[in-house]
Amino acid sequence: MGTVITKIPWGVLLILLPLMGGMACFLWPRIAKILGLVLTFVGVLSVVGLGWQIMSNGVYHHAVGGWGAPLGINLYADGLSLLMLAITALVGFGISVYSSGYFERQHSTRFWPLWLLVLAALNALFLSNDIFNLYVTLEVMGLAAVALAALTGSRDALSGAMRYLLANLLGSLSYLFGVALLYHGFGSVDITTLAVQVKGSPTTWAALGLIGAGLVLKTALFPLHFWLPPAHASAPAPVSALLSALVVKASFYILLRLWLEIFGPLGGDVDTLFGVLGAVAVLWGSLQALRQTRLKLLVAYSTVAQIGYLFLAFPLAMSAGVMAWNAAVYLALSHALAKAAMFLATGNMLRFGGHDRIADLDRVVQRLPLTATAFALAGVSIMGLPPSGGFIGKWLLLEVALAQGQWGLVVIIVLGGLLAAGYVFKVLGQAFTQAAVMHESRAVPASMEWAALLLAFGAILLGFLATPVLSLVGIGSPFGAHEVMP
Amino acid sequence: MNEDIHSISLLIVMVWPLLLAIPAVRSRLPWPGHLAIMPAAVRVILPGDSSFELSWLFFGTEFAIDGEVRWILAMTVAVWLLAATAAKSSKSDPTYDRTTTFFLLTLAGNVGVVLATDLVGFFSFSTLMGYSFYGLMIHGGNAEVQRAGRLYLIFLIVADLVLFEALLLAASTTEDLRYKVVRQAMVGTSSTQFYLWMALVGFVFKAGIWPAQLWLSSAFKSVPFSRALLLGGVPVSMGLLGMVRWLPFGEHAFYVFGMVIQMIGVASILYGALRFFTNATMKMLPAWSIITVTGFFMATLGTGLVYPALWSQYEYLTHPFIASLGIFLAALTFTIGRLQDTRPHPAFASRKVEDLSLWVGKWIGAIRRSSKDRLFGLQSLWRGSWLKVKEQPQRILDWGKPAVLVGGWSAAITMFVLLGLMLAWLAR
Amino acid sequence: MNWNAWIPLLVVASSLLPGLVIFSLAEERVRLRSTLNLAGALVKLALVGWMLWGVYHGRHYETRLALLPDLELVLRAGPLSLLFVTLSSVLWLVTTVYAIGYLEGSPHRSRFFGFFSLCVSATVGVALSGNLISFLLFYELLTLSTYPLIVHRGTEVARRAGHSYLVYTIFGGALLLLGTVWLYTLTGTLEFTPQGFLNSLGEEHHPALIVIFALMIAGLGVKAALVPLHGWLPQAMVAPAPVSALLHAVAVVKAGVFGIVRVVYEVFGVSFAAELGVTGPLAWLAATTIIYGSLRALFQDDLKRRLAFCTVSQLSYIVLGVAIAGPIATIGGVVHLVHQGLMKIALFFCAGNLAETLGIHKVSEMNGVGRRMPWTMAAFTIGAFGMMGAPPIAGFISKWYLGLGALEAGQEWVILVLAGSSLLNAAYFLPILHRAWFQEPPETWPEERKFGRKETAWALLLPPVITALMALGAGMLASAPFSPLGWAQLIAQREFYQP
Repeated sequence: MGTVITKIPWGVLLILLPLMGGMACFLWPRIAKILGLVLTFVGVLSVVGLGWQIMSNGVYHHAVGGWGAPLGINLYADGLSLLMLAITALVGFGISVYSSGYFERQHSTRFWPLWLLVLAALNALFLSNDIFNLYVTLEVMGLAAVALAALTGSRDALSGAMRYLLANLLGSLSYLFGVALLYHGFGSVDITTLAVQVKGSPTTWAALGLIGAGLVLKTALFPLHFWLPPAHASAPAPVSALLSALVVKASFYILLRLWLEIFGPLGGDVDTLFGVLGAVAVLWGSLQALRQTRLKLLVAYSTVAQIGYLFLAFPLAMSAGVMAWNAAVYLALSHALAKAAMFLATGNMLRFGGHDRIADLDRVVQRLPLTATAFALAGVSIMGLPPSGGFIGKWLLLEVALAQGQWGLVVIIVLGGLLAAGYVFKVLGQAFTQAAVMHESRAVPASMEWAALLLAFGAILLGFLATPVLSLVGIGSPFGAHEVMP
Repeated sequence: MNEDIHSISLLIVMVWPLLLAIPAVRSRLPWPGHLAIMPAAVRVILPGDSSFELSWLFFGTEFAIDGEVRWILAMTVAVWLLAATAAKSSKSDPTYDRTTTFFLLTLAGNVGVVLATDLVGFFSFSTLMGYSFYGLMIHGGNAEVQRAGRLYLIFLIVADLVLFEALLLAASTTEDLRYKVVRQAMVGTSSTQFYLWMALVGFVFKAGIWPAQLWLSSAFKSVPFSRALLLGGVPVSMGLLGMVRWLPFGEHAFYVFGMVIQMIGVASILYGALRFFTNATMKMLPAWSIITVTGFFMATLGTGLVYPALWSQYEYLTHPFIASLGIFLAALTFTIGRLQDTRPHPAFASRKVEDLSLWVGKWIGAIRRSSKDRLFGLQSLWRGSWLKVKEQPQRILDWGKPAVLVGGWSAAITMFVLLGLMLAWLAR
Repeated sequence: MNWNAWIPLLVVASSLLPGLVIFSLAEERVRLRSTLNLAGALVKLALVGWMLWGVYHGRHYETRLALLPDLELVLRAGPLSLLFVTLSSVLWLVTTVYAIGYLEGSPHRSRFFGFFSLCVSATVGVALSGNLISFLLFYELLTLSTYPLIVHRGTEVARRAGHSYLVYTIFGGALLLLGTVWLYTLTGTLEFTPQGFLNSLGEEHHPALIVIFALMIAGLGVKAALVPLHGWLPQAMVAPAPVSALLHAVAVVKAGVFGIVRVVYEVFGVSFAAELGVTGPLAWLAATTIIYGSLRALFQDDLKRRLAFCTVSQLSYIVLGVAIAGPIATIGGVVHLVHQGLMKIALFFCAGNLAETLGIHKVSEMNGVGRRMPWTMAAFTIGAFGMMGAPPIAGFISKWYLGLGALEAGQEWVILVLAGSSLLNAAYFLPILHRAWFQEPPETWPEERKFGRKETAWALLLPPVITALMALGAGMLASAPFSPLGWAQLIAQREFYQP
């Protein structure tokens, strides 16, 4: 049994199945919903299989078609990739379940092919080990995501999507230029090869600038976050969840990978800059979230703030690599779960009340208890209160910051949590009171409520899984083997 | 076997009134007051000393009856029987049923105080007694009674606080808080002086000894006789008893401390006597007499503290003295009350009480007025206050008119007595 | 199979699981819900009793679950934990009975009881936590699960009270988190150890330790309602009476105080804390709180608010006992943890009864209420006298040991604080009692509900009477085995006299 599992090329399946599925959905819209659900579930199983493989055999290598680097396409998966794949599969499954109840027929036929395409691109991205493949997957994912954001065709959605598209293209182009420069300079796009060859030179620095800027734009780090709130707020709920939870993480993942393998030693003060921007992002995003009167915008700005946290790890990683990266990964994972849950819960409230004005939430707690619970639990993780994944991530980050005496960052981390509590409870506080005007309400299918709730539970559960998750991350030592945990 | 019965009988003496204090328990009993005191009465008559220890109560405590205690217990039984009879027969008291609970609680506290053998037991039961007595005293009373009650309560709270501090001082000196041990332990330590003064102040307040006689006299003035007859036997006697038990008599000469107590005694005698002659309404008779008698007692105690050797010669008299004091007072009040009931006479009408709250109100008024004056300018303020200052001595000496101080008479006599004491002290 | 390792977890789960089930119950399934609640409470009590017996005979109960690579979620039953656990589980049972009676017929009961059980689980978790991170975890859980109870009524006032509660507690939690992580980076361990685990740190870390201490006390002080962090407590009185009773008189505020006890005794170690010079300021802070709370209570006409300020004041007795830093004062402080809980819960039950039966919310409406509701007011009287420290009620024992401890430690000023506080307590409790017993009742009560010949429903009447009797018993039977005082002495002995 075990041998059978370890022999199946799970990585390839992870890419091919959604890709083919997407096409099938396009061709046969009638079965799209069923197919989408089945395929995302198979995706979860495949990740489990891949995990089994990795745990028994170590880091996963697969040369597609038998051609290895530097000519062919290499699939590569270590602990970090595995975790990202796992979170993608889990959140993806949640989104699929949710979407099966969410979309009307006309939107449904357009949603499923695009969604499976994004999923395929995401999986491919996390499995790639060369920067050009990364570009391709990033581009596919980005375009499909833009299409998803524009799905409803409303005025807001279109303008938001247009901004998103422009930002996306700009980011991709910039990244592509960087890739071209590196290829020109060192004759390879394979990360492992590049890692050995890259030296400090004007070419490298230019490439670093281009790639970094492109990815930062795509990750929506302050001050390049301008496109995110309108796009995320105007998209349909499952799409917002997808964008905030996974798509943004994908570009962060690339940045992280490149940083760890290629640019880290050459970076100079870039990491400090990332840290500062991250800190400002935390404050700015949280403050903006606090000011919002619309629920979806609030959640979107919260994403801006949470992304800031991820970048705080860069300056800290200089002397405490593993710990800081662990913290960042943990935050990314729990944010993915929590923010997906939060957007889905928001979608429920929006559908239920027909609006998302925070002040008129009108006793959501009584009328949609599961959704309110989901929002609250996700909020707990976002605030970084125990027990939740967010807490573990914040704890690790704080620990590193304190150990290094980085008082500025300590203050930012604590303050960010407080502000997050402010905006989460701004919503929950209204959920108990009665609105001045009664609204017509529309029923919410149970599957939508449960999808949100289970994802939120996942974020909480992550708070108890630190040991296994951190040992998984360590497989293939993506953060460098020379450093040991204190 | 016999000992066990004796011990259990002591327990019943204390628990029985407490049990009856629960309304549901006594609802069918015709004479709850009398019934409650019965076990104590039986125990007084039964011969033989006994004690029993309750190791689980508080920090472990013991109750005992011996020759001295028997005197006090006998007095308690007598006074309470009289009070129960008076309460039962007093038709004028519409709140009889409701007061019974407080009556019985006070009784339980009183018995406990008498039987306690250590400071903690004494203190605990005297708290129970004190606060329940407040309830007993003011229940259903008019505004005057309420005011008297409030005065009593203030003195009681302060006394309890002060005694608690004394208790702590004792406890930090010796683990064992039985009277005999404390008496020896509290001599010659660093906290002795504190302890002595705290205990003195506490019991002077509790027993209404001069200069804290205020609550006692106003209580006598306003409380119906059926309850006023308890004043002598309950707060006053127990206060005196407390002093005898808490202070270290016969161990060491406390010269200054003893002198002060002596002086308090002398002052009380003078005060009581003078008030008696200047303001002898029938109703106030017991009040002035009790102040005089406690004065005698205090003077004796003071002497005992100054001359420990002398103390041992008349120590055996203290308990009978306290006992007779309680009985005498109760009987006197009872008689006068009966007389008044049967033969109401305008001459017995008591005078208006100038009590503390009025006094406070006056001060507040004065402050308010003076702040208002400020608006009219400094000059008028000056003139106004000067006039006021000029008026004060006149008012005090103008006995009939309301004065700024407590009351024309009491203030005047207090000042007179103080003057006498000062002269005596200086001439020493 | 070693069951002992799972019992602490079961104690937490015995309220958590019923709570989760209750959330999913329909509103009208009253009987099932009550059964679940009471069963949970009884099971918890039985488990706690089992642990008490075991610990008394030298057994160890400890659950360890991995939380972070080097940190574990530890639930351990030591004497100090058991003191608090026993208190909360006993009072949970009583309050559940009360709450069932109190909320009869009101909406959203499933939600209420669900969160109520969560709160109790969190409290028990706080009590059993064997290290700081577990403590922190349950402490925050407590914050979160209390919030819905405060805003339960869904009015604007409730919303604002909830808001202020959160502002205070989240802020406090953040400070506590900061202190905890900082401490961890210095020591690498967070395990509660008798006499602390910081002795070995070098001189150069002392300034940092002082700051950490301040952070932690500030974080815990929010829940313990130390002045000036007490603002949320009186406002939170808008919650239903059982919440005020169990949570704002016992569980939540005690979690804060208990945390302070833990931090001083088992993180810093009391002698080390004294050496750092941090106990002195803490004692002054506590003294200020005691007097300030009493002064504010004097001027409240709303009964629950008066009781709330009284809570503010009384809680600091415990902190004071800890901060005096001597064995006897420790006994006083720790035992007051239990005593204050018993007395105050009785008082709040009574306040709830008055509101529910007669519609009385203000002190000025209480004239003659003792004649209408004698049993309730008798319980109230016992509680009030206990708060004043009158013997033989439990408060006397606490005050006794606090005073003795202060004398022993040579800090006589504490006596003055205690005396002043008692005086003020008398000044704001005795007028209530006077009104209730000795004033004439009005013609009609504000909003009377009839219960036949009884003064009120059984479920409302029994809890205050029982808790008041427990307060009386804890005072009278102080020397009996298994009394709160006995446990407190055991704890103090472990902290001070064992090597």
